Amino acid sequence: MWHDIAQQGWLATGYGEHWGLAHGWPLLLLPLALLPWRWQGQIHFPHPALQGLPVDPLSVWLERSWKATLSLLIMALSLALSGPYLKSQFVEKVGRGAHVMIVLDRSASMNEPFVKKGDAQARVPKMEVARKVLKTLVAQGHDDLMGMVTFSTSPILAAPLGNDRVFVQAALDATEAGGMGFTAVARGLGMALDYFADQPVTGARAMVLVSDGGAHLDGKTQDMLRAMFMRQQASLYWIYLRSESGVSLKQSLAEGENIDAYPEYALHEYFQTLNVPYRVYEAENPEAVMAAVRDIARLKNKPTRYLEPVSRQDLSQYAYGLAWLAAVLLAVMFGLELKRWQS
Amino acid sequence: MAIPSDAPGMIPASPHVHAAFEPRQFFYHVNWRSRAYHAGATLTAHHGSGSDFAGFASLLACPDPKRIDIRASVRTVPRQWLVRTYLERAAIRVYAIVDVSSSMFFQGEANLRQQVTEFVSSLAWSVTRQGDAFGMAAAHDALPHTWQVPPSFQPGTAQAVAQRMTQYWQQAAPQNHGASAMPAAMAAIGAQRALVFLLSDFYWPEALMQQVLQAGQPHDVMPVVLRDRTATEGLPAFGWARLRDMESGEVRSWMLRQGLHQRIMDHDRQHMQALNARFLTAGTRPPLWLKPDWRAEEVSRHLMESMA
Repeated sequence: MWHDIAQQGWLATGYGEHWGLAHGWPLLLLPLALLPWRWQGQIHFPHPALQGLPVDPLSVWLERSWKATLSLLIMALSLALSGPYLKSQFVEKVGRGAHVMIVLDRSASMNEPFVKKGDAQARVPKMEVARKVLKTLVAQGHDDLMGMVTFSTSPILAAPLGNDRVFVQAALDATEAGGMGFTAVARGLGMALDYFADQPVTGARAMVLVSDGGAHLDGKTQDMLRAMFMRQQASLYWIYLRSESGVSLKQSLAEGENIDAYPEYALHEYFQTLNVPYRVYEAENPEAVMAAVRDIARLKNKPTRYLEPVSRQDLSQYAYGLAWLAAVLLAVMFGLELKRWQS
Repeated sequence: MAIPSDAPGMIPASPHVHAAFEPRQFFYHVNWRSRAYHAGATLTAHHGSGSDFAGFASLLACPDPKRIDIRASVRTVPRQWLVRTYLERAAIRVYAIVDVSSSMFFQGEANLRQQVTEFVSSLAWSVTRQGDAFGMAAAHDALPHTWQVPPSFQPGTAQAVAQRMTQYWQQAAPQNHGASAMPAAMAAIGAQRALVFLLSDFYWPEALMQQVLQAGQPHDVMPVVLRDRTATEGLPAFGWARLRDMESGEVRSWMLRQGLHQRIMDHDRQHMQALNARFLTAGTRPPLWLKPDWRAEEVSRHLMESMA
């Protein structure tokens, strides 16, 4: 019975769940805190008769505080050595904004500029333009939850959906290493949608697909994506970075042309059948991309509730602070102490 | 009774300590009558060949024709021979009962041990010179045998006593010794009235004080208070000091400052008055507050004045 009670008490302290210790052994030093109450090693001046003399309350308290401070110093130091910390926790926050998942194409074609001719300023790679603009998007929405998936042949999770802006910025920075491989749109979208899957619908969900081309999706993939979009209730924004030679989605195809020759067009056709809000921004130059992003950033809607992770917090600094305070007090009291009996 | 000069463990004291021995003579007088038969200076109650007139007695009762008083005989009706009788003078016993508890080892402005040695050896010297018997006893929580000296008329008592005391002081100071054997030392004097010099700092609990004074009731007790002034006066002006009581070992800290100085001094003054009052009610002589630079004249004066 006692064992159970002890175990329950131990669980109630939340050790291991909410907090922990880096080292256990310094706790063995804690009993040393009793030392000041037992130890009589200080200088004592002999006096023939103390009993008859009046008791001075100030002196009594000074003596007690000396001992207590010494105990405190020892305890604080041993606690600090043991390195207590609060485990990483989740704090629920309420914000206004959207859940935005950026799906960025990192295929080899993204390294090419919009136009082949022209001066160096005009020949900025599409990736760089996209990165610059997406960074402003990330910087703007302060309450948005953001995540990022990049894809070329395979999708890579760059940043999970969360409130961590720096994470996404860093992921965007990481795209400076040039792109490679093909454009596997479907798998990138699929992965990004997966991140909505385990979250309650607490805000508008938006997928921002940034890509410069399309890919052909077979029927099975199309059905699967459609089902996922329906389930997650995510709207889709496609920033289509059209290069000079690329096909425009605004004008319909000429009669008799094979739709398979233009995968972008096929993709556009497919996205329109998804039954979710869908917009396409066709950007031929950096300014157009900027305008598209500004549109998306304007998505402000119902309150968003989300859990923000708080990283593991080291508590030993407080113990060190306490020890410092105790040490200063002790120094003051030591300064007050008489070293010699001299009138 | 002679002091055993070859007592066990008795080693000759080192000369530089012993050289300080310089007995001073002071004089005392008692107003009670001795019951002893050893010739001395104190009046007794019994008739004999003294010079203090006691009264007249019949020649038949006191057949000493030398002392026939003719005038007194003539006045008697019916006529008879009257003889003058005189009281004898005899010696008394003078004791020094010394408190050698730990607090007497306090080293401040004055050296209490030095003071005790000087006073007791001077007392022994004076007593021997006056023809009385000097005895000594000391007590802390026990009765240290070095100090137990039965009353003696021997001329060398003062020197022997000084040597013993010096030897004792040279031993390590006893730690946390009270004065609980003081009543026993007092009781060991015996029932016969004696002049008792009670040397102590009198930092005693009330119960002990009462016991000692009760044990000293049959005697003529002369308290000699030896206190170091620096225990309560002239403390460091400011600072935090830890103090340990020499007898009980109790530890106390003092945050010394103006207010506390005043309180301690006031308390000390009150205690001094209370002690004087205590001795007054107990019927002893008024206490002699022995200063470090005491003079024999002052002691004589106090003894004469305080003759109850």
